[in-house]
This record gives sequence, C-alpha cells and structure tokens, in this order.
Amino acid sequence: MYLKRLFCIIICLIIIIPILLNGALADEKYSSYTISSESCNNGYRFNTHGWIYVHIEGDPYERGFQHGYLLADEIVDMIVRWNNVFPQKISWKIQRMDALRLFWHKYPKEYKEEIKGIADGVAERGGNINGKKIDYIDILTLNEMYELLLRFRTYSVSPLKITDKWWISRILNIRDFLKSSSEESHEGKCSAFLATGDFTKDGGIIAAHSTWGNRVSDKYWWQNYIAGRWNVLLDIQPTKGHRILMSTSPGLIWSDEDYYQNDAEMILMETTLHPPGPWSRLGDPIIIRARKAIQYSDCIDEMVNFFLKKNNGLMANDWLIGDIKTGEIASLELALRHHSLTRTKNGVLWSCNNAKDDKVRWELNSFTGLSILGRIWSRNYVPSSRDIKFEELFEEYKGRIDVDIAKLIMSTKPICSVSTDCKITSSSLVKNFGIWAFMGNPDGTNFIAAENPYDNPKQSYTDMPACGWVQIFPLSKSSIFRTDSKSNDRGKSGIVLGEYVPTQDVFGNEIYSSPIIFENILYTVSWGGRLSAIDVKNYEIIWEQEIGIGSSSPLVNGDTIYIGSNNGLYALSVEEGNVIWENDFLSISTRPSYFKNILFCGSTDGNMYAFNSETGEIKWAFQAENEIFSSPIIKDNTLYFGSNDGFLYAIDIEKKELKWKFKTEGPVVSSPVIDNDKIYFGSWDSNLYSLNLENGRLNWKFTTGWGIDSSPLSFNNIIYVGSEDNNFYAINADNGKLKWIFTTKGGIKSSPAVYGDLIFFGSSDGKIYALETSNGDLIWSSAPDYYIEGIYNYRTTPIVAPLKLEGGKLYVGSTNGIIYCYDSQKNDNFPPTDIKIEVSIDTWLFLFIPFLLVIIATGLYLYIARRKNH
Amino acid sequence: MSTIILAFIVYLIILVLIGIWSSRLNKNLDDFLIAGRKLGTWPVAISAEASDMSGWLVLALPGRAFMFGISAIWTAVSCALGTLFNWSVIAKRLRRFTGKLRALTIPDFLEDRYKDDTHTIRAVSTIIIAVFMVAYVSAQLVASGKILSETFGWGYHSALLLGFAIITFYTLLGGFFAVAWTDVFQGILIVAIIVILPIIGIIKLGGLGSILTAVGKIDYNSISPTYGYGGIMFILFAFASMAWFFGYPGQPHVLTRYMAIKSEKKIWDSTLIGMIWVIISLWGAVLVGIVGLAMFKGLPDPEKVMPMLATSLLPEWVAGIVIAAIVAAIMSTADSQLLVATSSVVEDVYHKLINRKANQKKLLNLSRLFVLLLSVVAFIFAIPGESSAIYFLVAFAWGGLAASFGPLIILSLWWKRTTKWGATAGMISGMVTVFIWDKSGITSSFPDELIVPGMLPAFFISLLTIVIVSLSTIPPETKSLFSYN
Repeated sequence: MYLKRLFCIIICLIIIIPILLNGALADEKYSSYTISSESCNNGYRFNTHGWIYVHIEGDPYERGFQHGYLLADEIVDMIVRWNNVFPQKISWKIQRMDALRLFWHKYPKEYKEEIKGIADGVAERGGNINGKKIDYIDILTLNEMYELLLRFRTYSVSPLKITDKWWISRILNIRDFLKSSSEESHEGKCSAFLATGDFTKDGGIIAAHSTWGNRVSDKYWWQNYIAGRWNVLLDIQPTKGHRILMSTSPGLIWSDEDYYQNDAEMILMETTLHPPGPWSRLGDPIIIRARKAIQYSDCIDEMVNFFLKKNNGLMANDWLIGDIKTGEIASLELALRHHSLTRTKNGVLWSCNNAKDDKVRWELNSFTGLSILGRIWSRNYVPSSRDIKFEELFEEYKGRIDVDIAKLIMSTKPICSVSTDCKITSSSLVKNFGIWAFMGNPDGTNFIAAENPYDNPKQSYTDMPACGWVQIFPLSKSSIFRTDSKSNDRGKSGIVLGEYVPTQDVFGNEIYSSPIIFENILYTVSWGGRLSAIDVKNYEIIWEQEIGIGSSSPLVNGDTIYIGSNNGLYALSVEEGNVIWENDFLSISTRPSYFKNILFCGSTDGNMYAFNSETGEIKWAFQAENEIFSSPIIKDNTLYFGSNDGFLYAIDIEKKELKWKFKTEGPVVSSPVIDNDKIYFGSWDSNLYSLNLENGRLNWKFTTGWGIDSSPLSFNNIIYVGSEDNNFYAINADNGKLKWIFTTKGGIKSSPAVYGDLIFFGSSDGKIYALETSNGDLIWSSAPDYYIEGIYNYRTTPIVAPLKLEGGKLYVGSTNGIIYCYDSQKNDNFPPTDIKIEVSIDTWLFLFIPFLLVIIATGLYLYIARRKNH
Repeated sequence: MSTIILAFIVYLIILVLIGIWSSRLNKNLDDFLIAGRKLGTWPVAISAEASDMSGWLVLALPGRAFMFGISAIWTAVSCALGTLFNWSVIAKRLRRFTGKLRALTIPDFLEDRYKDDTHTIRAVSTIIIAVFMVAYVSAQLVASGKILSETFGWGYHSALLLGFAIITFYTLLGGFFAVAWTDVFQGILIVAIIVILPIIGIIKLGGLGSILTAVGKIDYNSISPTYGYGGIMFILFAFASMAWFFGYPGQPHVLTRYMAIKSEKKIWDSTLIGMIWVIISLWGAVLVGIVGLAMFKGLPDPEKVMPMLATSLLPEWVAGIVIAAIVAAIMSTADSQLLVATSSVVEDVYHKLINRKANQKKLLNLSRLFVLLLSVVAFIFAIPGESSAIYFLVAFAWGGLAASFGPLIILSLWWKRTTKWGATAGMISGMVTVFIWDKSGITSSFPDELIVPGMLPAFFISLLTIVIVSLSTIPPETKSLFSYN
C-alpha cells in the first residue's frame, strides 16, 4: 500500500515538475499565437533587399540541416549553375571525385557533420541532381569549387611528389590559360578596406568589402551568372565557438564573398591575390582555416595562427583583420611559403587583389611569371588604378570616415567597377552584431543580362539590379516565425498616374526617405544628397540643391526647408532652394523636429542636438550611447526618440533632462508614433512596444519574427506595422493582440499610409501593396521596377521610403531614384467593391443535407433494429 | 504562470484522479483488459468514439477543411457512415460472439472462431497488432509532445515526458476502466470545445454567410461541394475522401469497446449516444477549419488551425481548455491503443501460449508491467520526434490495420463459410497491398486531395482473398456460435 502511494507521488511529481519549469519560461518567451516555421527547428530565413538572411544554430549536424532545409532550392540551383558553367570540360562527377579525394579527409569532424547536415536538409526537401538525391559529396564539392578550379591554374608541390602531375593539368587547361594570360590585368575579385584611429570619425574601426563579378567581356559571362547567387547573409550560432555573420552563397560553410564578423567583435575580410602561386596537398583547404579562424579567434594573433597553420596556399589571399575591442587592424598577405603581416591601431589598410609584399609577389609569380607565355604580372608592387583611387580617397576623407563615407568610397569607380555587393560595418554596429549591406553594384547601376549576351545556357541568367542599402541586426534569440502563405499573388495591379524623376547622378540616386508635398510642390531627397523640388502638376523640376550624402527626410516649416546629411544641417528657402544657413560640424541622421524655434535632430555620434532654427547654432545636446536613426517626435514639451543603444528616450525639453527611458534588447531605429496617451515604436529585438506616455511603463509588446525598422501607424485603434520578417501586421492597440497578418516576399522597411478603407506599404520585394484595413485582404499591388518572382531572382528594386498620401494619390519613392504616383483607390480591373463572391445554394445545401442524411440514417437504423427486436 | 497553463493543469489533475479512482475496480485480467464486460452505455459509446477519433479529429480534419473548404464534408460523411456501420453491423455480433467464446482480445476471438489449433491466426494477428499499436502510441506521443511544446513553448522532450507520464499512470492503475472513464471525460470535453469554437468564430466574423464569402474570395474552389472537380476527377476526389469508411471495421482498439459493454441490449443506446457525438464533432471540426481559413487565409501548417483559432479567439483560460481537449483527443486514443498492445502480449502470447495456468493476480501484474514496458518503448521511439524510424510504420498503420482486420472481422461475424486459411491469407494480403500501394508511388504525382489511400484497394483485395481461399478450404464447425441463445 505504501509502495503504491509512493509510486503515485513520484508520478505526480514527474507530471508537475516539467509544467512548473516550463511554465515559468513559457510566459517570458511567448505571449500567444506562435507558429514555428517548417521543421527548420531554430533556423529561419527572411528575404530583404535582394539578400537572403539565414539564421542557423546548434550542433554541427543540426545547424547544417537547417541550412540545407532552408536553402534547398537555392543550393540545387547553385550546383546546376556550376554545371552549366563547365558543362563538358569538367563534369560534376569528376569534380565530386576530386573534392572527395583531395580535400574531404582534411575536414575536422565538426565541419564534416555540418556538411552532412546540409546535404540531408536539402535531400529532405527532395533536392536532387539528375534524379540523384543531393549527398554530402555534392555539398563538399560546392564548398571546394574555387579551390577545384584553381588547381588547374597552379602547381601542386608536395615534398613527396615534386611534379605531382602538374603538366597534366596544364595541358587540360592550356586553352583557358592561353586566353587568360593576356587579359589577366582586368581580372579582379574584390575591393576592401579597414580604417581606424585618426582616419575615422569616431576613432573606431570602419570595415568595408565588395565582391567583384566580372562583366568586362563575354569570356567572363559566368562570373556574373554565379554571382547571381552570392546573396546569402548567413548567421551561424554554433554550440561551440563564436557566433558568425558572413556573406556567402547557398550551401557554403565559409564565405566565398570574403566577409565575416563574429560576436567576439572580430572582422575578417579577404581579397584574392593574383596570379595563384604553388600549393601543397599537405595543407588544409582555405575553407577550414578561414572558418576556424572566425569561429574560434578572439584576437588578431589567434586569427593569423589559424591561417598560417597547415596553410595549403591554393588560394593566395590578402586577409584584412580588425579587432573592434582594441581598435587594431591587420593585413596578412599569405602565399604558400611567404607571408607578411602589417598591423596598426592608427591608419588604413586596403586590398584589391594586388599583393604589396615583395616576397609574396615573387612567390606567386615564380612559376607563372617566368612563363614563356608572356604574363604581364609584375614582380614588384605597382599600384593598380584601384590602389591609387583608394589612396586618393583616404587622403581626402582622413578623419571623416564613417559608414556613409565608406559607402561613398565603395561606390566610387574604379573601386566599384564590377562590384556585385558591398558589406560595411563599424565599431558601433558590431556592438549590436549589425551590418550595412548592398546587393548589386553599390554605385546604383543595374546589370542588364540582355546587354551581355553569351552562347551558354540562359536559365536563370538574369538582370542584377542594385537593391539599395540595408542595415540589419541579427536577433539574439530564436524567432517566432509566422507566415500567411496564401495571400501574396492575389489582387490587381495599381495604376501609375505619373513618375517624378529628379536629375540622375553618377551614384546615390536611391530614395530612402518619404517625399513631402507642400503647396503643390513635391520635395524629395536622394541618398547621394540631391534635394529636388518638382512641380506636382507638370512634373517639372523647379530647383535642385546638393546637401551631401546620407541625407535624411526634410522638414518644411513656413518658407524654410530643414534637412540634415552627413555634411551637417541645412536650412533652405522653399522658393529657390538656396542655403539660408548651415551647420557643418556634425552629421545628421534623422528628420528634424520643430518646436518653438528649436530644431531637434539625431546624429550618428549618438547625440540628440537642439539647434536654433534661426541661426543653426547648437543650443544643447543629449548624449545617447549609440547612433540615432529614429526621428524625434514631440508632445507636451517632451521629446521622444530611439537609439541604437536599445533605449527609447523621453526628454523634458524645458528642463533639458531625461524624463524616462525604456530598454529594449535591440537597436531602436523605428521612429515612435504617439496616439493619445500611448507611444508606439518597434525595435530590432523584434518587438513592437506600446508604452505609457507619462511614465514609460510597458502596456504590451507584440513579438514579430525579426526586427522592426519602420515607424508604425496608429489608425482607428489599430497599430499597423511592417517587420523585417517579411510580414505586415495589424495589431489591436488596446491589448497587443494580432488582428491580421499579410506576408510579402521581402522585409518591410517602409512605413505605411492609410486612406479610406485601404492601407498602403512598400516591401523590399519590390512591390507596393494596398490592403483592406479591416481584414488585410489584398486589393491591389504593383511593382514599379524589379521584384522578387521566384527562386531564380531575389534581386529587386526595394520600396523602402515611407509612403506619402496626398489628395487620394499615393507617392512612392523607389531605390531606383524615381517617385511614382499611384491612384490609391483604383486598379486596372475593377474597383474593390465589385469583387463579390456568390455563395451558391449548392454550398448551403451541401453544408446541411449530408448532416441531416447521416442523422436520419442513424435514426432509421435504430428504429428498425428496435422494432425487429420487440 | 499564465492561466492557459493553469487550465491545462486542472485537466491533468482530473485525469489522474480518474485513474486513481478506477484502480480499485480491477480484480482480474478481464477487468483490466475489457472492464469485465460490465461497462455501461455512456462509457462504451463515448469511449469507442473518442478512442477512434484521436488527434485526427482535432488536427487533421480541420486541416483538411482549411485546405479544401466545405468539400471536407465528404470525409466527415464517410467517417459518420463508417461509425454507423460499426455500431449496426459489427458491435452487437462481436459482443455476442466474444461473450460466448470468452475471448478477451481480437486474436483470441479469431482463434476461437476458427478453432485454430496451429495458432497461425493468433500469431499473425498478434504481431500486426503489437507492432502497429506500439508504433501508433509512439506517434500519438510525438503529436502530443509537439502540440504541448508549441503551445506552451516548452521543450519537446519535457512535453513528451509529460504526455507519457500521464497516459502510463492512469492506464497502469485503472486499466480499461480508467481508459474508458477518462475517455468519457475527454470525449465530453472535445465535443464541447469543437461545438463552441466555431460558433464563437462564426459570431465574431459576422455569420456563416460572410465566412463563406471570405473563404470563397481566398479560394473559390473551397466553397464548391466538389472542390471544383467535375466528371472523372470528381469520382477520384470522392473516392479519396470516402475511403475512410473502409477503415472503420478493422481498428482493434475500437472493436474492444464493443466487447466490453455490459449487455447486448445496451448497444442501441450506445449507438445513439456515440453517433450523436461523432456527427457533432465531425461537422464541428470541418467548421473549425473553414472559420480558420476565413480568419488566417494561410498557415504554414494547416493542421494547427484549431489551436491557432483557439488562442486568437478565446480568452487565455479557455484556450488552455482547448489545448487540453486537443491533447485529450490524442491521449484517449493512445491509452486505448496501449491497452490493446498490452493485451496482445499478455493475453494472446503469455496466457494462451506460454502459461495457460497462470493465476489472475499474476496476469494482472504482468499486464501492468507490460503497460509500463510498452509505453517506455513507445516513449523511446518518440524521442527523436518526427524523424523517428517508427514513422515508416505509422504512415500506413491505419490503412494497414483497416485492410488486415476490416474484411476479416465482417466476414468472421457474418459468413459461416470463412476458414482459418482464408482469414490468414486475408490479413496478409491486405497488409501487403497497403504497403505496396503506398510505397510504389502509384499516386505520388497526384495532388493531395486526389490521392486514393492504399486502404481502399487493399480492403477489397483482402475481402476477395478471404472469400476465394475460404471457398477452397474446409470450414470449421460454427453452428453453436451462429445460433441464438
């Protein structure tokens, strides 16, 4: 009896304990309404601005599986592309054999597991090549593709086998070798630089890197074809080692776009040195060394050690390494036998495929340079045109380099000649594990496939438009994944009434801020800093004014326009656009707010400044801990704004002191909005917050799948907000409960606008959407330029700028530099009220008749059975 | 701790109390395995239905309605008719025959019915039942683990452990009594929720008419009774939807309910109660899916439509009860299956083949031991989640059981001429056909709604095999069995 009771108690404990343990956790993690994404466990992916952001985490096999599962289609397509590039010359089968033979045994268990996981993840989704399921050798081959190609262009030297059949590879490749020799000087892979100390604005590190495709001639058509898939931002949170953010292509465990950062605040970039030197089979592939270096290093020394240890020399690189913690930067030029290391805490280091160290150069050229085939590579360092440009720009911008200037440098020719992307980070960004990224050429030029014809398979050889700058911060916790899969492609097209085209510049035409309409004149500003006043009626440009790169939204007050940029704050006359006053001491990163002759503007230096609106003098400032992108808003003598330090601040304007602040777990880029006594804003910790205006207490928060960058909209007691998780949400303002959700194919950075029964917003998938406010039904959508269609093209022309509604017309700024004007209510078929569904009588009958029939059948049976029995 | 979890805990406590209460009713193996054939009208009726319906009713059927709109009613109709078929054709005779033969389990019944001294039928049927039932229990555990972990945000494994602990606990203590009475409690909970939830949804969304309009806007086919199919495609669609009917006579964990009722005459009352329960819950489930479609438009996993609807429509504590009802639906099936698997080992193998003289106390304890053992096995298989190897079995378990036992049970009860060789051949051929059909990928290129499950052809092949083999072998003596009194 005692035993039985004891047994009962034990079982009860087993039941209750997990509830108690988990119950406590559950409250914090989820509110309600959770959907996990399709069996990718803790991994998830979102599209934004032409990039695919993929988060994976856990043990090697587990995170590999997530990677493979989430990118299955893209990985298969990547293999198909490589196959199309080398259809006859080297079949995939032979590449597989060589990858297995030459490299597999070098991989440590951790990365073997990760690769197997990727293969299984792809296979799980039915991924196959020629009907055969993708296996780990396919993924290995994909990872080793660059080394496999290079092995034909260089000598393998091994202490055991001196010749190692190098001549066979030479003969196999003689045609290619002959052709490449005369054009080698055009070939480039990447441009990158690191700046620190006196060179940068805040004394911290600025790092920038662009990968190069090659669009110079037909011969290199395939580099662009392959580059079409260089759009993965992979965020790996391994169980062992540091968290990594890298720019890569699908299925890779390393970065073939040569950009990494980790959560130990280390930055690692690379440009490949030419020509390739000799290599040794005894060494480890670059994949393993680079991945280990970023995963397990805390400082520059450790990182250098990873590269030098077991170096195989097959890909000779110039590694640029930055340590945010110390502010030190380094350049490691590494061939097989020689290397040089340059380190500094005050200076710039750049790299563009041109080795500067004599010994390294000599080694790289020792075989190919002596070739009778007439290589034009010089044994001594001769600056290339890119080297010269870099030096010029560093001279010009010394002491001013920040993210904006880095963007400018990276979009200057010839540094950006054939760039396919750009990645930039800084000391302040890395604090939040953040990055600025640009898919496509950062100077804004589109690559048009039809202008670069070639004879090879055309499948998925598509245009590569410039997708605009995007700032992202990976989540520090797992995502609550939601999607509304059915709604996307329904609805009609919108009607474009007109296009406003400001003068197009060499670069920086992208429009990221909302246009303003004031007395029938439309004011718009491009990222490059051109403020244009355009007549709304006849589309004519009235005046234009240059105010410097990185400009933010303007404010019109009376007959003055106030606008900030990287150069400072400007007051311009509405009439002619001439400068009334300017303050060029600091860079302004938010829209100004006007209050009683004071202008409030946030800056990238972390200060919220109060300017005299008459003279432009700084009256006072409030210091936050990190950059401010969130435009301030004023109510009842109080100024509200967010900062990348994660706080929302409320400042008493009269006392010039902090009233309250509210902490979130991610940067607050979103500008707050106020409705009655509540303030709403989003944070990169994925939450939308509702706070009490008086004391900053939390009313509720709503968790989305990723960061909220844009400003929410409050209308009829509903909060509308777009999230980088590709969803647009309608949330009950009283309790924070979800009303409806609409999924697009890209992250949503554009703040919505409402008119009548419709709500409008733009998405980075390239479309503008008009939804019914009551239920989120799509009424119309429209893509003014490139938009995401399917897996073969994630490249888009994102709609980032907040939308502007004026007199029933919708004004939309696009990253292609044009402002489109839509009729907000009409679409190309018929007005929304006409979409009527007739529920036919069949439907109603079918709902009830079978129900009745079954009941009658049961009754009948029972009736008969009982009668028979009696 | 949130109210949603509190509501759930209350539910669990009730289950545990029922387990403890019913533990005193078990005196011998009869009691433990089929409640000594003295179960009343209500427990038999509701327990039979609740055991049958499982997570399918609360997850898969609303999911189907979510995907295919009102045409899911075809499935509901076939299930309702299948249930009616069981009550009207199978239940009474099965109770009478098993009572006469003093059979505790389906293999017991089959062996005695065919006077099979070679134990072939027993061996084949026991193997099929034991293997599939354990796999099935394991799958149910996976489902409950998933639901709990996703709703409450717990770890999958602790949720799994919880589900396992509760089911094992009350089955272990109370045997069939506990299983039946917890089924009653759970069955009432399920039907209450599945009626209330769509009603609230319909009111909130402005009536059935506006829901149908909204659903029609999303996908016009989903308000078409035939899902937009006509002609031969419609016939295929109807076949695919109606195939469920043929699954009903062959589910051992449901059949044992009929064997447990106190007297044959009670079966009519049970039929009435059972049918009402089934009809209401089937149509309720379809409406849940349709309301969900109008509300969410699209979901990554349509089968989650019910928990999602609950959490977004209802206050937290009621949502907790809904989650409890979903888990209830899963558990009420798992416990019955666990008991059937146990009986096939203890009664069919140990008692009948190994130790015929074992006393009741020993058998009872052995049964408890096996409940624990089998549930541990099921638990271990459930640990890897959906990647578990048992999913290979579960994929065709329902159809496999239906095809192996369905035609056999019908013919055993209604056709004197059936022989043991016919029975054996029928079971094996049904099983094999399902396996071949589902694995051969005959239908793999069809859209989901047009895939005819292997159960349908297998049912008829098995039926045909039994008839042909029986006619060519010598029938057993069954006069006493088929005569009244």
